[in-house]
This record gives sequence, C-alpha cells and structure tokens, in this order.
Amino acid sequence: MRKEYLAMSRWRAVVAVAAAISLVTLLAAGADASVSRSAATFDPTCGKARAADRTVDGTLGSVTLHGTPKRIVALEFSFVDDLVAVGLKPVGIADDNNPNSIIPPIRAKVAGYTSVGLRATPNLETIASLHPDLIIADATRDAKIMNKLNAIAPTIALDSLQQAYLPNLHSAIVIGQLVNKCGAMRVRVQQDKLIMARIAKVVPKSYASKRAMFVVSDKTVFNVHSSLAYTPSLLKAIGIGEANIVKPAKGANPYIVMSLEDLVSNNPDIMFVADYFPGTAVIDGYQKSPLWGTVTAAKNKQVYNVNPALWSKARGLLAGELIAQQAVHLLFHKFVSIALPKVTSA
Amino acid sequence: MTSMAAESPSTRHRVLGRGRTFPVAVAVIGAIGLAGFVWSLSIGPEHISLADRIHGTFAPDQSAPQLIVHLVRLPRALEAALVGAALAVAGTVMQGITLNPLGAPEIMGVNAGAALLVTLSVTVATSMSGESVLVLAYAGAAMAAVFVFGFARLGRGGLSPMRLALAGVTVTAFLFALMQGIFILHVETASTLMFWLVGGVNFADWHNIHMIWPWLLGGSLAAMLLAAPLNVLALGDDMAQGLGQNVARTRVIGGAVVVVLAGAAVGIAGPVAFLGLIVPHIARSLVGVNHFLVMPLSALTGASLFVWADVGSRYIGAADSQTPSGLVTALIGAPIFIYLARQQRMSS
Repeated sequence: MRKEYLAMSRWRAVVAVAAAISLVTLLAAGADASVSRSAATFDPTCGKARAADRTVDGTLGSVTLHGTPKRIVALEFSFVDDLVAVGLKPVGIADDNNPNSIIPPIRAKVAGYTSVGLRATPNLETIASLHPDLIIADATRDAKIMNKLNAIAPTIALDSLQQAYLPNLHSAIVIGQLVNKCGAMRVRVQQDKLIMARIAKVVPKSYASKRAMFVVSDKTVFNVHSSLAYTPSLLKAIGIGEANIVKPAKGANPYIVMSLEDLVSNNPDIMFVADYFPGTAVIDGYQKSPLWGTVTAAKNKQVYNVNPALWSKARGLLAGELIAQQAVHLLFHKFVSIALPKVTSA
Repeated sequence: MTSMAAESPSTRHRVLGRGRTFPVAVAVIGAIGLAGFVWSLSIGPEHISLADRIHGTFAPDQSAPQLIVHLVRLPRALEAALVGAALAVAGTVMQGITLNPLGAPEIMGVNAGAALLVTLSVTVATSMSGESVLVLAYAGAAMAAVFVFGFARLGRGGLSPMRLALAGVTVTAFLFALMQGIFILHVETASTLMFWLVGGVNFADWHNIHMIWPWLLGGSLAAMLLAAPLNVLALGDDMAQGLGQNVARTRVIGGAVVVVLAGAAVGIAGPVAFLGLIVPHIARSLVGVNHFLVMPLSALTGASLFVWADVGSRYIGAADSQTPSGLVTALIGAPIFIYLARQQRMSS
C-alpha cells in the first residue's frame, strides 16, 4: 500500500511539475502581451462630421459609413501612419503586442491606444470592447476574418502587407475618404510625392540601372523582397536600382528565400539588409564564405544594415519617407530633409 | 512488440538467407545515391560546366563557378547524405531499443525539443539568440531526450520498451504544445521559423559539417557496436536478460546514440520528418533483421533518400526560390510507409 501510495504521489508530483512548467513557460511567453489598456481618447480634429451616408470602396468590397468615424481600429502599421498623417489617432492598434513595433515618430503620436494584439491574429474581443465605428483591415492578412470584423463594426480591407509602394499610397487616399479628410489626405500624399522627388534629385541617374536588393535575414532564412514588395518598389520610385531582380508571378508571395548560390547568381550591386539576429542570422554565415566576396555589393562595400521594423514592416507615408531618406544617406552620405513642403491644394 | 521472439526460427532463416542480398543492396542503393549526389551538384541557378563541377568538387580554384560547387552545392549534397544517414541509423537504433516498428528518433523528443528551444530563442528567450541554431537545436534535442528517459524510468517497472515509447510520445506532444503556444503568442517573429521547421539542407555550409561530423562518426560507430546487443534484445526483454544482457543499459546507451545522431541531424537540417521511421523498414525488407547488416544499409539508404529528396525539392515551387527539402521527405514518407505496411514487411 505504502509503495503504491509513494508511486502515486511521485506521479502526481511529476504531473504537477509538468503542468507548472507549461504554465510558467506560457505565462512568460505572454508576459510582454500585457500592454496599457487605458481608455482611448477621442481625437477632436476629425473635421466636420457629415450626416450623409457614404460608401467607400476598399480592396475586398465597399463599406458604408454614417457620418465621420471617430473610434478607429487599425490592423496594420501603415494604416496607423496614414491616420496620424491627417492628425488622427486610432483607438486600437494591432501592434504585435509590442508598442516598439511601431516606429518611434508614429508611436509618439498614438500614445494611449489600446493594443488589439497580433496583426496576424487580432483579438476580436478586445476590438469589440473598444466599440469602434470603423476597422481598417489588411486585404491579404485579414481576408478570412472580414465577416467577424464586420459583425463588430463597419470594416474596410485595404492593401498593405505584401503590397508595393503605390498600392500603399492608394490606401492612404482611401483612408482620407473614410475619415472625411479627403482634401487633407490628398495634400499629404502630394507632399509625399514632392518629398520623394526631393530625395530622388540626390540620386545620380546611373543608379537607375543598378541592381538593388532588400533582404530580411533571420536565424533560419534569407528572404529577398522582390519588386512586388514595398521597399524595393519605393527605392525604384526614387531612382535607386532596378528592383526587378527577381520576378515572382503576379499575386505570388513577393518574398523569396535565397541560398548563397541564388544570391551570387543574382549578384546585386547594392544590398540593404534588415538583420533580425546580427551575428547568428543566415546572412552572417554567407558573409563568412569566400563566395561573399564575389557579390558586387560586397566587393564594392555597398551592403548596408537597416532597421528591420522600419524597412520591412512599416509601409506608411512617413515610414516610406524615412526609408528613402535613410537610403540616400547610406548611399551618398547626404541628408535630405523630409519636412513637409507647402502645398495649397492637391 | 516482441514479435521477433515468436518468429525466431524464421528470423534465423531470414537473417542467414537475406544476408546474401546485402552486397547487391549496397551496390544498387549506393549507385542510386551516388547518381542523386552527382545530379545535386549540377542543379542551381548558375550554369556550371562538368569540368568546373569536377574541379569544384575535388580541387577548386578561386573562380566563382568552382567556388559555388565547392562552397554551396557540395556541402548541401554532403549534408543531405549525412543527415539522411544519421536519421536512418538513429531510427534503426530507436526501433531496436523500443522493439517497436513505429519507433523513430522523433519519439525520443529530439524534433520537439529542438523546435522548442529554437522557437524560444527567437521569441521570449532572446538572451539565447546569440547561440547558433545548430547549438540550440542540438541542446534542445538532448534536453528533450533526457526528459523522455527520466519520465520513462519513473515509477515501478523500470525502463520497458512500452514505457519508453509512451514517455516519448507524451513528452513530444507536451513540448510541441509548448512550442505551439509560444508560436501563437509570437506569431510575427516565430513565423520566420516555418521554413526551418519543415527541415532541409538549403542553407548548408562547411562550417556546420565541420561542427557535426565528429558526432556523426562517433554516433555511427557506437550504433555499430550496439548491433550485437540489439540483435539479442530483439528476442525480447526476458530472453535477452536470460542470455545475460543488461537490457536497461542497452536501452540507455541506445538512447544516447539516438540523441547524438538525431540531435546532430536536427541541428543542421531542422526537424526532418519520416526518414528515421521508414528507412529502417526499407533496409530490413531487403536484408532481414540482423542489425549488423541493417545498420550500414540503413545509413546508405537514408543518405540516398535524403539526397534525392533534396534534389526533388529544387523542382517544387518557384524556380528562383528555395523549398525546404524536408517537405519532400514528408510527402514521400507517408506513401512509402503505407506501402510497406500493406506489404506486411514491417518488423521490429
């Protein structure tokens, strides 16, 4: 009896320890998920509310709005950036449970927002608890949950993830229509184009035929963003490089996993590298190989490390301008102001 | 589980009879593997001449084509062969010590442990991110195996094959559940691991091979030394003990060999599925159940199979994008396993 009792209590102890380990691990994993959930404040600069109903077209269909939305939930960083561009502040943001995922100048403008969790799997209950009157979702990532989002509040799906510079600019225009600030947004987009033109002036014409490559390197992958993706298309817009080194089929995944031979074969002249794990990422292994020296970008010392959050995730108006500003600063050591130019009407 | 004991007369016949097919099997599978290896050296975005491929393999100069062969294609093919061989031998040992035809290195928790630690390092425990994936995966695999053995030895009855298999399945499920929990809570960061989690040799380099080959050599030699005890153990625990074998010690040493081999393989190629499970069955269906023959033939078959799986992976997906070679082993593994089961050639 005593033996059996001891054996049983040992088993109980094992089960208890296993349960405790799993609980502690999951709690530790979710520890940084706890963010401020203070009540969001209304932004008073939302312009004159319009009484008339209006319908705005998005990528996956239209949305009908009554008046001007004041409690907006944004499920991509670029939508937050675009809202801030016209003086608005979302009440809820899918910030991947980490406020530092939002680039600092935008983060400073949205203080007090409520995190609605991961961009990949936003927390629908938290979104509902915010009583939003508009949800701006991503047309690629959130396509499958549009019905659920629409049940909470009017939802529009716009282009951001896996989309190029121009579709993202178009999303900003649509956001202007949604928040009843069409004029202000048109002016802001016009300013964006003027800033890009200002930056492009610094880029010598010869750079248009250079082969520029933007790479995201992680511990286990080496991902090249193709010309269908945001950053290469933005660089092309300011005259840096022919970003179309790799051409996946339209509608295909714009990110391409490359081996060292693929890289050598593509042989970029310029590389911008977002390295999430400096020292132990795949690219660090590539850089140690004698083959690395055969890549033109490496030979000419034109491999530049860039901020991963800004260059690979942000995609908004200000983010794009910052990327362009940093690109010419890295390449030509020239600082070009991104101060907003005066535009009377767009 | 101890079917071997019941069929021992016919087994003796099979061991003796099928042993004659061993040289033929080695020659045929070796030739198939070598063909895959040579083909593997010829695939890539750069067109490289036969002369450059030969020079690049044996004595490269500093020209780009020969460097590509020597620094990218050769380590990739070699790594595929080493990983395939290591997983196959680990699978053979695993099936030997658990007396279970469904035994595989994965059952020892190696894949789950490696996946958990690597996922932790890029999400919550970023203090570990300074370590290479190889070290993290190997450490995770080893820790999981220790956990499995510890779990299996608890309570009365000692280290029986059934307890080992049950503990392995339980711990594997537990560790994968933890990994999935962390993955979901950090899906943005963790999703970059999807490629690695399928397993493959797409990012092979000499550095990894240099790090890992002593472990593979040591593990393989130890596995060969285990051939005799495993042949005795195949008669069943009682018979083996009656013949003077320390059954528990054989299992512990066997488990250590599995960890060394499979841990190294997971370290460089990620959690590749199915190889460790199916290859020993293929080998046994060719040469019978004598571990002295099964062990080397498993190594050769595993190497050939994974080299071919890696060749196959180059023809899946976009031409200029990599596809993890582990995807092919998973795709071909299941049908082969079903075929073997239908042929009733599965034996422990």
